[in-house]
Amino acid sequence: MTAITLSGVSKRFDAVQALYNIDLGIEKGEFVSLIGPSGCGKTTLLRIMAGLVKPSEGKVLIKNEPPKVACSNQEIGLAFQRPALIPSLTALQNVQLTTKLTRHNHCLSAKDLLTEFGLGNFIDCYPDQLSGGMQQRVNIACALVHRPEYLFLDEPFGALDEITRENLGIWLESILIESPKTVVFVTHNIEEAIVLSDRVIIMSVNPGEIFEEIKINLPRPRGRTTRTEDSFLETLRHARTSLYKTMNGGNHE
Amino acid sequence: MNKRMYLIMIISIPLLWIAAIKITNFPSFVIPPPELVVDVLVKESNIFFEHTTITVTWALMGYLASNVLAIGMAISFTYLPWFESFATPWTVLIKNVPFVAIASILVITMGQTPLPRVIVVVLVTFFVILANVTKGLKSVDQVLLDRMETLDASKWQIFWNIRWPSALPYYIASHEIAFTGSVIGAIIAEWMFAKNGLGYLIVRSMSQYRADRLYAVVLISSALSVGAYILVKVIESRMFKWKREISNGI
Repeated sequence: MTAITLSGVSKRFDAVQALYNIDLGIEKGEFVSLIGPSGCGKTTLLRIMAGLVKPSEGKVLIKNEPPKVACSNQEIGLAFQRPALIPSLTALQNVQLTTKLTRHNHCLSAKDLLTEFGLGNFIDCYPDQLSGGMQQRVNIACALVHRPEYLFLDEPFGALDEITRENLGIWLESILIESPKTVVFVTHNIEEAIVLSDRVIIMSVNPGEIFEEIKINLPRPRGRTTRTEDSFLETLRHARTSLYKTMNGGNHE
Repeated sequence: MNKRMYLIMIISIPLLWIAAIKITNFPSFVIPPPELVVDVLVKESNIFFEHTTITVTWALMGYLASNVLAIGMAISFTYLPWFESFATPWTVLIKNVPFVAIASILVITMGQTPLPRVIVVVLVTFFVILANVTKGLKSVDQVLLDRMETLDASKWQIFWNIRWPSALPYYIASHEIAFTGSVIGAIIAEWMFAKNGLGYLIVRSMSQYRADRLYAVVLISSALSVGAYILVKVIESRMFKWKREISNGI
């Protein structure tokens, strides 16, 4: 069942054509990553899907309705590279802010969620007292506590070191196995995209278009050992080659 | 706030005062010695109390009005960009007309009523609060606003949970200048046209060559301004206890 449909989506900012004619269908429960060179419109595309930006042309439907309907039903969870946390609120209060704003009553317990995320001893800490990885876990808890059907993540691990982002990737996968969601994930990291996704969308730049879609058939869960397996390395080679092509107008060299 | 430094300042004032008298050799009717000023403060405490109460009352009234107006206008600027475009040239104009001139016009127009006093205090304090609160309300992190939008938060929820907490440090910072300014504004207004208050007492002391009383008024008004500043700092440290916890924790 298609959860998110994009038909002929284009976006223009004055003279700049950021996105051109994007057609994409995302299945319910699917994890889709968007990768591509800087300026290819990944974040703009994610923001269009989340209903934060209107496309210049084309349309986006979430469950056959405009994204604003999903927003008003509070079915969207959103996390960016820079954690959307209020510095004067503790980790717990930040997560509770989402539940306070949520109209339905099937939210998770903010405290339980943070404990489950390994932050049980840090719930009363302010964001500036937490490490980057911890802040990002609180940020993702804010995006998940109201049990959204759709999760939009824009380079959530982008500012973290290699080991922390690897750990958080494993952690995110375990959470999604337990509570599946339709996820759109923007990243610059090809390995991360392959390990986490069911499908990787490679985008080209000037204008932002879909260059190639790569289906990832690696078994789950995908732990650290996945990254050393031949099938992973083969997929990585394929994705990287495709990415190089986007930068050379279709030529590999 | 460094309490020790304030203590040093308080002790230094009479010492510097005495030193100035010794160095300049001015007579006591030009620079009265501290003991003479303290003496007049005690002997005429009723007069000082009465005029100080009047000054403080009008300073607070004007300051309250200033806060209400500035916050209301800052909120309007945030949510109604056309209103900000329309009102900005007017605020620039009013801010740059010398308020002494405006005050004189107000006295001619309104006569010897308390309203010109309130308006002068508003003119002295309003723009600092307006500029700071507007900046604070607009300095919200876009990622937070995006998160609120996907949660379908109402304008009020966004204001109360996101914009106002973001503006609060700016608002409190504006008090450091504006609250002390309200006392100064009230004194200036009284100095120009009132028949009571500390400003009026300054004029009367000058015309009577009462340097002792003049110095007493200076001491009182300085104490009021410094007191206002310290009060703002105390409120700030209470309100932003979380900042202290963070700096202690790192």
